[in-house]
Amino acid sequence: MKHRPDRRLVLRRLGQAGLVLGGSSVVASLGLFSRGRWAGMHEAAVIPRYFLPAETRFPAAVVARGGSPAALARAAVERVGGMGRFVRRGETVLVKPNMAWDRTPEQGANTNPEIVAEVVRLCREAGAGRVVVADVPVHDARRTAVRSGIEEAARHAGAEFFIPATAGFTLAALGGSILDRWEVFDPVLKADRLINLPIVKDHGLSRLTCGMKNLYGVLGGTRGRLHQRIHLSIADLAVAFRPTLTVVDATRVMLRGGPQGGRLEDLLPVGAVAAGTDMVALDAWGATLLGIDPKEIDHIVLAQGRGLGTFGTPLEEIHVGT
Amino acid sequence: MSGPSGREIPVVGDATEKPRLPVYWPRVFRRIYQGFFLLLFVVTLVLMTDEGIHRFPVRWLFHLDPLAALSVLASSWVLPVAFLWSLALVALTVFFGRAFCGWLCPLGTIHQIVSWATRPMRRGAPSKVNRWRPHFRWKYLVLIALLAVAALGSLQPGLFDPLSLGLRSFASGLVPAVSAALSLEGFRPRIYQWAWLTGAIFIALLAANAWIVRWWCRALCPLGALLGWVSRTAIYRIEVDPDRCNHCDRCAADCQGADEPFGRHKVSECHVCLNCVSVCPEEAITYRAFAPVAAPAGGVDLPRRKILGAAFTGMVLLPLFRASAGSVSSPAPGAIRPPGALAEAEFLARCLRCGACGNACPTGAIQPSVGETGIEGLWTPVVVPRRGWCEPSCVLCGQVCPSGAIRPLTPDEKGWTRPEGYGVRIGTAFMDRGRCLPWGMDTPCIVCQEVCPTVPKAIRLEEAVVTLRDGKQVRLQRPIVDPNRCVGCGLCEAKCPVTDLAAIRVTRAGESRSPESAFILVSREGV
Amino acid sequence: MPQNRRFPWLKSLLLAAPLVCLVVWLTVGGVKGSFSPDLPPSPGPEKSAPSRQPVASPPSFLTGFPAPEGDYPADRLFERVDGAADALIAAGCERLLFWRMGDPAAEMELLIFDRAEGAARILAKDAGPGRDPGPGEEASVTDQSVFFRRGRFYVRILGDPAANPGRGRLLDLAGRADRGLPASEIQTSSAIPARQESSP
Repeated sequence: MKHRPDRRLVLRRLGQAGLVLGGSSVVASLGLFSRGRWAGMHEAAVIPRYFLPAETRFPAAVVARGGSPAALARAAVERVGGMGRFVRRGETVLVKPNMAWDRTPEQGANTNPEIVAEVVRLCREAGAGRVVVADVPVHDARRTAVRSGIEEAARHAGAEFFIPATAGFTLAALGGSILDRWEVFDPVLKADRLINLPIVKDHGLSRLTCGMKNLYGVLGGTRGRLHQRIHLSIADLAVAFRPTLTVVDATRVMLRGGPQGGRLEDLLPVGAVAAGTDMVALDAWGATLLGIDPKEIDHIVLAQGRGLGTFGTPLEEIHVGT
Repeated sequence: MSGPSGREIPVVGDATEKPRLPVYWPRVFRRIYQGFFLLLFVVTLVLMTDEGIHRFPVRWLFHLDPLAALSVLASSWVLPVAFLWSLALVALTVFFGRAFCGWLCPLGTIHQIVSWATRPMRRGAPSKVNRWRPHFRWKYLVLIALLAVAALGSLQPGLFDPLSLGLRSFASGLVPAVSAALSLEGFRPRIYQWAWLTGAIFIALLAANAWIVRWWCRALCPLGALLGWVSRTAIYRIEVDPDRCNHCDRCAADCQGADEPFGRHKVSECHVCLNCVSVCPEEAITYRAFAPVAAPAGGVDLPRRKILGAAFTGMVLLPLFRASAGSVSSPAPGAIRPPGALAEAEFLARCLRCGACGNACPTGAIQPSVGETGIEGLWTPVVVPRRGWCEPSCVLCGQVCPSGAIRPLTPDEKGWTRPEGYGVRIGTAFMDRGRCLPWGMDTPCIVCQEVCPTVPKAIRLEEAVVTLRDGKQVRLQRPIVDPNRCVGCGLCEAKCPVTDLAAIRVTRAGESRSPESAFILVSREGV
Repeated sequence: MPQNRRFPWLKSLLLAAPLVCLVVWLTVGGVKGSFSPDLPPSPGPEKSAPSRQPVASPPSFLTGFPAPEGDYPADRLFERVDGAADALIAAGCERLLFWRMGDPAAEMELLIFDRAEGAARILAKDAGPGRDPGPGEEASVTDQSVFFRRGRFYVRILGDPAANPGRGRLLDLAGRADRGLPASEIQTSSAIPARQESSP
């Protein structure tokens, strides 16, 4: 026959029921207000502002000749104000060489490692907290870092070194006409100052690769697509990542077959290093080394139109004589 | 003779003859509910059309499903509001035990019908067949493993959820088979790739009923496991009065859940079919509130190591899936998702693999994927233009998707019918000039350009005058795809007269839901 | 002994009630067609990855001018130009935009073709063989009209005969229109330039 249920049992069952229902409701309502697992996926990081206000007492761009690559780099940077003008104590500085190709330094496809090392030393002397050397190569990153000599030079001079194997990419808002949101190499986003270290070369598509084109190396994703609108995307890069200082390696200039090169006969030993804050003037100077009228290079004209600098006046020349 | 409990049974006439008892009305109602919900299931299948979705709540099946709700929550960390309805089912289970399994679940009803139909095939006395078996614990382990995978971001529970399994098996397996057998044209095309596999799996599960009654429900169903776990606190449950029980074991003969009402009743296995209550000649069994606990832990004790083992298996599976080339790591060109689909990783975390979108698609474009999207994407929907194109003004797939893996778009948002309105792209068409008639075969044809629905058309024609081998000159119009306008609808591929491998084929490159698949650079300004 | 089980009225009522309510709700909703297919948006990943091709608002296509009064895609050209639509479409006209200007009093049409050849053909049809100095790559100018073409953009300006603004002012308008056309593209594909959309 039915007997009355034990009161303890009733309470326990009701309690359990309440617990289960209450628990499920709480979990469900958490799900209602959660933003989801991928909420942050589409948020784009902001690029730091590396560029410092211009100072009229220093030239915007100079060329140094007549010395070893390291001495030239040092002299050129001294002339535009010294590294102390660009780097404050404790700041994180990113030195961004051209390290895209699995080539030796003699083949002139990447920035001369001696210049990279000297610039790192200059940053450390100026009191930088961290000096980082990073790039996103086209060829295999490990081999490129080794063969170009840049990894060893950077570490030897006391910098940290990053390639895509050792750091990741983050979506960033670049605000350009072509480059709207794109993946950017993390070390770039974590730096206070950016020192652009290009090498002057011929380029099959853009005709010249110098300072502005060198900024390609901060991008991840399918960069190859940018070839469809190469000059406009270079101009976008120049605006988004306007570096604090540009030091141009023109010790060995690749006249033909760029940007990869490979044949030593295509190199011209110009033996100069330029530095400055005016990327447009420096790129225009690089164009003249290749025998090209800067007005014919669309990205130089576009960049001037966007207020990144001016070309047309020759650069101040200094002789080092070491 | 002795029954499973080992006691002597007094034989009342023939041991198999059931005593004639007055009708037990709750059981009648149970059967009415079962039939009704099975009917609703069929109506759901049929009414996934533009008109039907307004006349019937076609997504009810999944919005009531707590396993679907929990899985979506675990894998995507959000709960679409409509899934709150599943709390009603949890409440039902907390009060009445696994009444869902016995009264509502259409798949359960189908399995029960097949079990009834295969009675002659089952060997052994019914009461022996309905003993609880240790392998019935598998469903709990399956549940844990699936929830572990879901927590890592992949909605694999959708594959095993009974409602999802049922809908997809019928929609893209059994119904197409029937319509093929009966040569029905119908208002929706009924060819689905891999229909044979989808149907075969379902039939195999049905066939298991010839061995053990409702084997899927007892041994594998993860929703049954979830509800079983909840029903351990059930307020209403079976109680056997030991003073009245004469150990005839007739209650076991028709038991659907194998919960052993005669022994130590396992409430987490009981489907509340009430057969035992209605059949007991001594009226010793009642279904009432606050009945005492018969067996501890609901009767199913899972050793901790098995639980951990299941969880670990689940957690290891997903990285294994992701390491193999699948739609997240290296998407295949054929993995074209329906318009409105979320980006791939999110999509795989929300897609229930229910097949509702494929069922609804009026042209048969949406097909279950077995292979194109890797193992992680098994039975997720892909658009196969050769099977059917994506109708420009149709947005049904998003409207029937229960979990929002395919967002509901308006035709305007989809944008394929508006001039210059490309809101959503699912891919891009690529010309195979070697196969194309005017390009490679000196033969006029402009079918693709004619059927291209975008405004202006994404295919333009270039004139060329060609000299044939007999010296005659023929003017050919050759189609060229404009990648900035093509939305990937697949009309061109569907209508291309080159019958086997179309001369113009759509692949997923350029789909708008994933910026990394874009291959054409677009500028923001008009420059 | 099995007792007679009385028909349990209360229990049956309680069991039948949900079913009845369900049937009623489904029938009423089904007849009225009131079930909504819209899934209330969950506060979660509402958008998938941002679409590269945003839903466009119609571009004015002429910077420095207000939004056009009329915007006709190819399939509705006939609404504006009637039978002439056939010739325009055969020449590859994709779109026609028109403005009614107050000062000078004139009507201006911008026709966008898929290729420059089509625009040239229609200009030739409208203007005949002679060309005059004027804006764009080629122009035909009279006292009441200016027709000019730049690339695949063809502009037709017709002065209001009652107000008679005069050749000079029509040429000024044409010059403004020329400067307002999208800048020439650097790439050579025939793709239409992307719309000017409001920045995200």
